[in-house]
Amino acid sequence: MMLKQNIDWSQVRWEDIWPATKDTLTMIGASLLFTVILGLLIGIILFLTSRKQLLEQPVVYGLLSFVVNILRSVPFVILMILIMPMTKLLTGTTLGVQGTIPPLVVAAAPFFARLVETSLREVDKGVIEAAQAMGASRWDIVRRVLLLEARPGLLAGITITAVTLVSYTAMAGVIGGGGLGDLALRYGYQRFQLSVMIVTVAMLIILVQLLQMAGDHLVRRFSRK
Amino acid sequence: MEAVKNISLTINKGEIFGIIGHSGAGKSTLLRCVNLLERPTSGTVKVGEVELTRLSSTQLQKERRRIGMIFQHFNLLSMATVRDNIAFPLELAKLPRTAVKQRVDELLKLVGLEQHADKYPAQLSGGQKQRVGIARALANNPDVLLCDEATSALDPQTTNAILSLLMDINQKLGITILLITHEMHVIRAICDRVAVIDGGEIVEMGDVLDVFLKPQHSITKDFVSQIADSFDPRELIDTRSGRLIKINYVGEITYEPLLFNAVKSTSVQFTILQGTVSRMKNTPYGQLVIEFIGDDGEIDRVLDELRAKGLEVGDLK
Repeated sequence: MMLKQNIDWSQVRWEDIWPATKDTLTMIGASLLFTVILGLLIGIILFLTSRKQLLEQPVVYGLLSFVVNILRSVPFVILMILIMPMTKLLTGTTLGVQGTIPPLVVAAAPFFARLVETSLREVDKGVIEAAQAMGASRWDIVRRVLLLEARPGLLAGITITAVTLVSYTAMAGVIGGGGLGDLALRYGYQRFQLSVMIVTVAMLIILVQLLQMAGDHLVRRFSRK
Repeated sequence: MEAVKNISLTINKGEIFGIIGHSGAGKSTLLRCVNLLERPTSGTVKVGEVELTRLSSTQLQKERRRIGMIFQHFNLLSMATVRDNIAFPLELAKLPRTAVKQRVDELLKLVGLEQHADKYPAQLSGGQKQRVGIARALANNPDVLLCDEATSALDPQTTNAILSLLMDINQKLGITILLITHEMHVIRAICDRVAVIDGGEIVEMGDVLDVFLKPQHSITKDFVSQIADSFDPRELIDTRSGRLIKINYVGEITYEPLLFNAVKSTSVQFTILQGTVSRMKNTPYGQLVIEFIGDDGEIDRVLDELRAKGLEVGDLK
């Protein structure tokens, strides 16, 4: 009863919610795309240069691993502020949808790269050896063996990363990032409109559920074991 | 650490050569040296006229297409169908799509997997998986097929089916087969020559028949006893009154009534105490321990007659 009195549902303005949802989706979609490209690249290099792998390079691996660890240890909110100059350089702004995508990618790509590295490690070494015996080049092995064999793991990794991005985009609202997080912050927190907060959180929950379901479905579809 | 050392081995074109050894003896390393999956620190590897140890990595990749390889655990792409697994080496060789399809169909037929072309490896039995492995290894018409414990993960019946497929391939396509195993049974079933490896070195080598019938090294004797009777007939020497004779024979005479013919005009009688009559690849052979009872002079004449027929005869000591 208390709850009912305190929450004024009339404050929820759907004409604000929908564009904010769209912004969040755009940020997740665009940053996921760049994250996957960049993270795959870093993850593959990490894997190949690690011990006993095709391009074993302890120095390269050590350096790259160090950078990845650093990026992963900085909290997202702080990372956003730290890389603002770079963001401005890349997109011309540090605000809104555009200004949020670079920090999202910088934060999520190292995370995804580790997931890629782990998935590639799961690939049966015997299959790699068989490909070598058949005369496959390293590039053939990456493209035709590793990426194929690790596909379920990579899809699961993309799903986890997408879900992580949802919470990152919400955090981005703190420094004017736009989207649902921004809405929750400005109306829900600063203007005490609890109803707006609840609706945005509900939207985020639905988003995460949908992403997870879609990801699980894809993983199942591509599993052959 | 040296896994193999001082090994000089020449495999003849078209033969099935077996390398047998216990696990850790270095046989797997030796096999991997042939296609340089394992690069020897010193020495050369020559396949046909090409010295592989001299090639650049791109040249080596190309040369490896002439050397097929199959594995104990099959090593198939789990995410690709049977068809795509067999097509893999053809695609690496950049064969046009229609040629790939045609060749894959041929290979599916060769290994008897036409029905399973669109299945994934997880849906196949071990024997079927190895057939896919064989088809894949043969795709680029290699001159040599390397078999890394190819039957060790299979049950006995499937092992025999795969072995006869390998022998078929060897005969039909003239492919040289080099296999490693720890099972003497495999050597006996299909190999022409055998090398016994222990501690990274070859301790005995020769025609399977010779090595099998007259093993010299103790490791070889171990392996031979895997398929021989574990009973040692020498234990009988003190308990029997007649003469104990060991007889070995090889070839078509195996199936002739030689013993009967030799004794029928004499008063000598005989009892078989222990014996094996079998085949090594396509060659029949027999190993018997026989007790002859009768006059010593007469027994000697019987033995001479057997020797004259080409049997190897000697007193059991």
